[in-house]
Amino acid sequence: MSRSTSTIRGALICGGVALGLLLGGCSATAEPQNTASPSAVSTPSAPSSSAAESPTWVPPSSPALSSDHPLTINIVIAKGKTIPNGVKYDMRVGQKVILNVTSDADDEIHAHTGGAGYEMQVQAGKPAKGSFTVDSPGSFEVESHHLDKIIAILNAR
Amino acid sequence: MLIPLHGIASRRDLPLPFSFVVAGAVLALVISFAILIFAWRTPRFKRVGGRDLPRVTAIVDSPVVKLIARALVLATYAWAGLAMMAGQDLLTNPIFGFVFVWMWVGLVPISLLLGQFWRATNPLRTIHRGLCAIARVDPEQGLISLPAGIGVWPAAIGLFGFGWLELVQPDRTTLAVLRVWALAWLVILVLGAIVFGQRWIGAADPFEVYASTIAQMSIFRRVGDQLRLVNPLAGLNAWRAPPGATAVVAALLGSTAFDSFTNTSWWIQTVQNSALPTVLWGTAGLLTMIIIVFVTFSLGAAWMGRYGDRPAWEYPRLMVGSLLPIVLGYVVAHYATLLIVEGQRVAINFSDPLGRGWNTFGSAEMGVNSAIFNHPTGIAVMQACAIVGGHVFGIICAHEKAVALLPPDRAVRGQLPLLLVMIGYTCAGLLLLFSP
Repeated sequence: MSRSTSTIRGALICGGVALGLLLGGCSATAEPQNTASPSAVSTPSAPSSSAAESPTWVPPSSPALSSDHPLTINIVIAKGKTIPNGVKYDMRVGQKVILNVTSDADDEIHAHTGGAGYEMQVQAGKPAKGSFTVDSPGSFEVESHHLDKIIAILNAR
Repeated sequence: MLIPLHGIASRRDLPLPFSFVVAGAVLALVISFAILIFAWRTPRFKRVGGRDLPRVTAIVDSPVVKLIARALVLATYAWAGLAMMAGQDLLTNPIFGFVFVWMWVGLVPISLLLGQFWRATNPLRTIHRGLCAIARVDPEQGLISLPAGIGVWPAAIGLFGFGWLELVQPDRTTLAVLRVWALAWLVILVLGAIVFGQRWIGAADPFEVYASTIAQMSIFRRVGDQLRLVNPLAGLNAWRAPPGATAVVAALLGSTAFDSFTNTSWWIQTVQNSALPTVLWGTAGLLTMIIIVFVTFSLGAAWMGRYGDRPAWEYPRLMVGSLLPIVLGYVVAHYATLLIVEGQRVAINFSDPLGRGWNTFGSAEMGVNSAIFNHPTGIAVMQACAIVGGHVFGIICAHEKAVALLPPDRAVRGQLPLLLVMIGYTCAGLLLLFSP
């Protein structure tokens, strides 16, 4: 008798916690998107919100579109801070990444690409443009070398 | 090759797909409660069991084999030391990968496959033994005897130190910084062994304590004088954790979790926007993670004191073995690709420690096979399986201990809080790999 009640109780607990977990999980996914969008004002990064007006953002679920459109990231470096500030971008392997950089100080942008990596010199006040491709799947950082800060993280699939 | 901002690899694994996180968490949850409710009610691993291996024991214990193994390991470290002291300050210097990949990550598979190999060949012990032989003193004897209660507490501090070096220390991939840490490690351990006797190394060397702890899950286990082939679960169940083992495990789990946590957008954005120094954030974050693990686990285990006949404070140490599979799962999920790919790079650069174009071991011309990265789904499956699998084995160990320590009618209730804590670690581990 006690066995069957404990089984039922167990099942209830299981179900309840599973449900709570699923809900908790959902709210956890929503969060990063919200936090990402304000800091990426100049960049069409945050999924849901900017997909419509941005030609560069590629939905992760449609690989067909991907490699044709470059991913453009507009980078502003000012007063020791970077915009975007550690924002994550979904992209495809082989997709071209274009960096448009404006900085108030001389800097060096580093991007890890799975191969030799990409380096770009930036002079104070002079807009600079550079591009590279990511050769293989992985999560790669785009960094400001002088500030030691992560500008963006490219999740290439 | 560009130097990455942190760590020695310029690539991280892709975030775990969210569906994997949900599936893994649900699976972990269902299996946990299934075990809690339906599993055995009387201890199953009262004895270690397994099969004696008299021949293997004779080979392993023969003085010649010991001498050769120790000499080879010592020579490997000496070679790495040469790279550190005389090599170039570039990421092609094998010393960085030697420390952060071969030693730190490599000790896990070594200890799983070969049991207490690390302890038997620890170069610190070899150096200390050599010094004692020259001075004609007994290596066991020190000037002062270590208090028995100290257990592995010094190693827990050492593991925090290594975690700090790996994850917080600025310029950790420069020779100047690494030399200071390596020298401190050598001096503290060897001088300590002279003062306290050889036991100090077993109490304070973070690498040996980490390796010995992981070796509790090995298929090889020494029972009495004999090596045995055992069921790893039975072997782990037989482990009598020393004082401080909970802190050691918390340091391991906490630092691995922190490594993932620093890759979340929230952390990067908060730290980079803050006026406070990054080092301060890193130190506080790492400490916080370790303390969270230590406190939640200790409270969950201490709850068993309400149902058993021992004082509550004894339970965390009795139960800590059940966290080891979770530690192993975390480590595999986080560092498997690093070991496989960067481990090869170390092997290649190891032929040329001074950067002069040498090819001492014939490996200098080999290329890194990074084909594993072309299978991101495979990597994700492996990561989720490691975390969930570690969790399941952890729950099994905890259940076994609970039914052995608590009266049968109270075993389920008594282990419930600990079970919830472990489910929390697993869900957190999965979420951190999802890396929001």
